[in-house]
Amino acid sequence: MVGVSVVRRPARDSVWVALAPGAVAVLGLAVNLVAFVAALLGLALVGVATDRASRGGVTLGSGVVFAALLYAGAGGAPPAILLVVTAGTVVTWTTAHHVVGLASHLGREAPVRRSILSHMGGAALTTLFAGGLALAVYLFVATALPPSVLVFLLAGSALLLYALEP
Amino acid sequence: MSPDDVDPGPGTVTEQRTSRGQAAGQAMDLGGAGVSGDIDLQAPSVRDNPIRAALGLVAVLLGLAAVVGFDAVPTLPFETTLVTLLAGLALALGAIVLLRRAFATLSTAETADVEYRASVSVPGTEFDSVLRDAVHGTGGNRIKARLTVLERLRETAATIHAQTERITESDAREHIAEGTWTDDAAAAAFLAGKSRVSSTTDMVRTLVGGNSKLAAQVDQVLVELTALAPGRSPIQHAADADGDDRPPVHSTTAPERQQVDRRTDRWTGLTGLGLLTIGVGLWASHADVPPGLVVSTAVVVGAAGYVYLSTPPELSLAVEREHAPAEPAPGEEVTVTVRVTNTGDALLPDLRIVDGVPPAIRVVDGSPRFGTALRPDETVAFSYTVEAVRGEHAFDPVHVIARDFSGALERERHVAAESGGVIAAGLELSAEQSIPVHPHTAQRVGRVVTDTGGSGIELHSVREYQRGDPLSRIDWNRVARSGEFATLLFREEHAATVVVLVDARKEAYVAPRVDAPSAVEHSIAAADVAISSLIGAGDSVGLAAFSPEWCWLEPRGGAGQLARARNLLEIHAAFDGRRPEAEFYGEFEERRLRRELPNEAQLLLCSPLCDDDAVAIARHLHAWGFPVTIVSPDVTADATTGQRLASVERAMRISRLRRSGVRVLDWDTDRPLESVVDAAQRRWSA
Repeated sequence: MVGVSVVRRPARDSVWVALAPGAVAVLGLAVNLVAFVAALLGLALVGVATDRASRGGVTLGSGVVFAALLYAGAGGAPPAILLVVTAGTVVTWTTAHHVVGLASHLGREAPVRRSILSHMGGAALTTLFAGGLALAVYLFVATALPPSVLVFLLAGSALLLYALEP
Repeated sequence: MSPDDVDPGPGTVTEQRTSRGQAAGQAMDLGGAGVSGDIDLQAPSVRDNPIRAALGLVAVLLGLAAVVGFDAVPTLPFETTLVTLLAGLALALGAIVLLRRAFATLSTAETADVEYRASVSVPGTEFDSVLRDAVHGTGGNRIKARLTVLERLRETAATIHAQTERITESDAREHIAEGTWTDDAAAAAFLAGKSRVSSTTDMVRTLVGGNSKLAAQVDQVLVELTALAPGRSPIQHAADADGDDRPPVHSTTAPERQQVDRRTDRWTGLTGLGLLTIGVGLWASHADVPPGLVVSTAVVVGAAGYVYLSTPPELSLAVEREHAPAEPAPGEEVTVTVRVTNTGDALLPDLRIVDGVPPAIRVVDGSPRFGTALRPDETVAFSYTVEAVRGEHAFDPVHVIARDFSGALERERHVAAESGGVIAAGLELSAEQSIPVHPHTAQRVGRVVTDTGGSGIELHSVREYQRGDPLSRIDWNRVARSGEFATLLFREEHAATVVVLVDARKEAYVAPRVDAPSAVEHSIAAADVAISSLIGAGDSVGLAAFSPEWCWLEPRGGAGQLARARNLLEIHAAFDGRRPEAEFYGEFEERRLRRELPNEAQLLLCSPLCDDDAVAIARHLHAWGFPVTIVSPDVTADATTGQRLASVERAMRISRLRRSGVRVLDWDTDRPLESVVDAAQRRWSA
């Protein structure tokens, strides 16, 4: 009787589930052609890297998608779209890492659906909530801000972010 | 130095195991003593960087106040330069933070390969890895590896050539240096050192997917050697480049059952993204920051907040296990069902479970692992199938890894199951049947013909009739001729004393594939068959093991001895199927064994003969006057080049043993032992 072997790579279904938010993000970037193509390549890289259980590849691919979204954002993409795109990128990045981590602990055959969905749900909720807040503030504040205020806000956020680095 | 300073030593292997077991048992309390790592496991917090956090918070609040209308922010001079500076700073900081990620390592638990049997190695894998170095290695390593390969092949070829041509080893080496040992030109040239394979072209060849020329030549040499080696059938097919996907040696139990709380650091570098976004935004259009990017920054800040809001998972679980059937026969499939219940108050969003399959048992269907999220008081069940193995096997504690929602905090625990901890399967009943050997030769197995006159088969002498002599032994011919009564005396046959030795050292845990039964399992089955047949024939049988665990059963006859031997084979630590970690000190064990062995004992050694120590011990014992018979399961394979070499080397060991007078039964494990014994008996008695 041949025994089973443990293959520490994710199952195909898990890879597709992890890529789903990223696909939404890439679609959102259709407003800017260059960004769209770059993001598509990045997402493909994330998919291949997740399938091969390579964490570095996942981060690199997500980085490419993020660069594409920065480019689109600097070019003036609408904030609502960019909210969805950024949330999609971050959720795909963290879910892909989660999937790779599950595979390295549990192998390909173990059932992991609930764990992936719970992680993805938590990440999606948080990112969309935070982005949604910012979007609401933006929509609410219609007037243009004087530059010094903006500088304070942004400098403050930068300091806070640097302080918050986990 | 006081007596307390004296190191009592690690103790015997059994004592070491007991103390480790006790330590593991103490550490098994959930959340109790013995937890290592960050005891106060907490999420990263703003308290880590208080000054920066405070300054940043103040600036943001002032800015927000200005947004809603308060005149909180003064007008700054040089706004555009300030903005550019800020952009540059943000970009630089972001890059630095992101770079941290490149050097950060993820810290997480490791799970053992519980699906496999306790580690067995495939003979020949280290030669394969040397060969791989010789092809793919760099610089000095490659040259050294090439020389090793060449020398090893030359040595084996010299032994085989010397034996088949009946010449001395030095003559054989000369022939090899000249290339006259075989007709095959490629093999001869390789061993003579005349073939030059350029390593760069070889590497390119392998990169584009072809086979390495060096490996092909080595394989050609091995095909020739296999054809020459006694008892090996010639190989038809080419060797696999890499054999199995799986690593040859793996660990089937968690290295130390540690209970650790840790931060995984998987979100390192996140805020670098946020800083980059700010920098890009400011750079792109100075003070007129695109609102899209502000929203993106907020999303990244939200993700960071996700990490900060994480709380360490409270781990409180109850595990139950059951297996069906409850009393399996060896080789039968057993379905193990594990039920895990969250007995705590909090949701466990990320729970990873690996069941502690006993090392001697392997999984044949399903997966002993599960990943899920568990609400309080919720139970999850999963099942998988294993193959039962003779003996009692206790399950290891379940390895549990729990993380919070974001994955930043992790707890690792080992939880013992409350039920179903042992799989017990009795020895195969087929060994009850007697071996179908010819009745005439059965009397020769272990039967020693002595020089004492008495009852037997061969005529010894004649003496005067005495009252009480059995009528069947009276020489009736003499009575008919002369009327005198005389009794014939025959050479008495006494029962022999045989000690069955099982090779259970770590070198004997070899198998043709990582998921195949090991040689030790075959040896134990062979020992079982041998003991029951020898006891059935009336001999005195004892049992011993080559193992760091000393095992000795004194030779005695009778059915009670059979039960005793069987019991030992089932429960003694030497035969429990776990590969020993400790070393086996051959000389010491040999001497101890010699002291215990009765004078006329014969030895029946069950060993795979995959290393030279077993051969040395067998020859020593044989030379000391204990006739040795070896039953050797053939656990070599011929898929890769290294495995073929191991197979040839084993054949040479067998032939060397046979020349020393030791009888060797080369047992192809696909055939039942009984028919192999039968064929050998016919050979030995001819």
